[in-house]
Amino acid sequence: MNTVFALWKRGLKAFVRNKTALIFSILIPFFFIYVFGAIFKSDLIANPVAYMLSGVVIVTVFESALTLASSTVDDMVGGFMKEVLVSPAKRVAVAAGQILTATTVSTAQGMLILVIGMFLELSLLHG
Amino acid sequence: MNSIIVVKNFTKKYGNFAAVNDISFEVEEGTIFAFLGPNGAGKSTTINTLCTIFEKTSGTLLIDGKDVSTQKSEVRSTIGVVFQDPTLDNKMTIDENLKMHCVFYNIPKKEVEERIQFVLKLVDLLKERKKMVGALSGGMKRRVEIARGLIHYPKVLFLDEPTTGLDPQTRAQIWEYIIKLQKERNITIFLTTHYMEEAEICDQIAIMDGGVIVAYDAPYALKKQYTKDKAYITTEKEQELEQLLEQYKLEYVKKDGYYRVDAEDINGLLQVLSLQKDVISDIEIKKGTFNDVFLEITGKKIREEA
Repeated sequence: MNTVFALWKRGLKAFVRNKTALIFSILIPFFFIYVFGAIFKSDLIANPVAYMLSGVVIVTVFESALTLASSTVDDMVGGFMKEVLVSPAKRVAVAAGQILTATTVSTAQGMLILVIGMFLELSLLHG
Repeated sequence: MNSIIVVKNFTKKYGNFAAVNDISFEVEEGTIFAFLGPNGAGKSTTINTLCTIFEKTSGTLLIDGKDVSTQKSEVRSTIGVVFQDPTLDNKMTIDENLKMHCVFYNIPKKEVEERIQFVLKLVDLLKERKKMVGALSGGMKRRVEIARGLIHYPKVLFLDEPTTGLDPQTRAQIWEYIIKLQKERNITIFLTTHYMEEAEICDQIAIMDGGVIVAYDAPYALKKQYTKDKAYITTEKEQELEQLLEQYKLEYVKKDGYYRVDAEDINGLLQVLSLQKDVISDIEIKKGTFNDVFLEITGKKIREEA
């Protein structure tokens, strides 16, 4: 259990420390909403954000989960995985730790977009 | 003395190719054991199997009485490993790397701080503990890895080429740590190296080539068995010298400008030469080195395949 928690903490720390990736992963979904919102705007659909939001949330969650999961590959290339493999840590716990990190980050991102998106939609409706 | 590592008839095959072919050796507790051999000899395969990363094809491998393939978890907590390539997490600080390691090895929380201080003091990195690993130099990274390998107080420490690619100062330093460790904590050290002068410090040496152990003894014994002292003589009276050498049945090789005499007994050679001192204009005697032992045993050809 300690291993899972420690790896989870490590994953989150690494994510937060990588400032460029952090900023882009937050900005890109809004860029999507803005660009596609402008493209799809027509006489029939005054506010496309309502239709797009679910899609953007799913894309974001998928994308960040995939990126974080592939950090396991980075660990293998970087050698860190070897250190994990010669330690008595349980393999299941190692996998669980990595999965938990990806889950946490992508869930948080999905929620963030969902919440902000709802605000956008609301302001548009009233405007 | 009891053997802490026992390897019996160990074979590892990749398809039909036997990377390691039926080797056996033992390492006594508290000694430094060096594993030498050209690239592709099967050293890393053996180390990786002992470290529970690879599965053996057949044979028995025991560390501290525990079987490497059936009691993996027990073996893993007994050993510390420093690999050839760095295995640190570059995105974390030294401190975080060591703490992570403590979690993996189930070290009680209240001991963690004390142990980190102990190992970092050993490798002189106590001041740098908050630094990011990615920003450290190669030598410092190595030291961090050695510190990390020791934090769970292993009985056996595996070092796969611990000093490759480091400057002479750092190499000397790392050797200091290794010897200190062996003396103070009675840790058994199992290492591979390419530097022959380093191998001489060890208690036992096994030389591997082509998947088998070709020599296995203490360094001085190997040196005695495989090297000859060499004398390089320059002379102006070539005929007289040749006569003298032939008279006493000393074999020589004539090269441009000098004669090379391989002698098992350098004193005898000097006595012979002192009979006609005026023949010799210059003489240089070279003692056999461990490099010679290595080349003598494994051959001089560089292998094409790794």
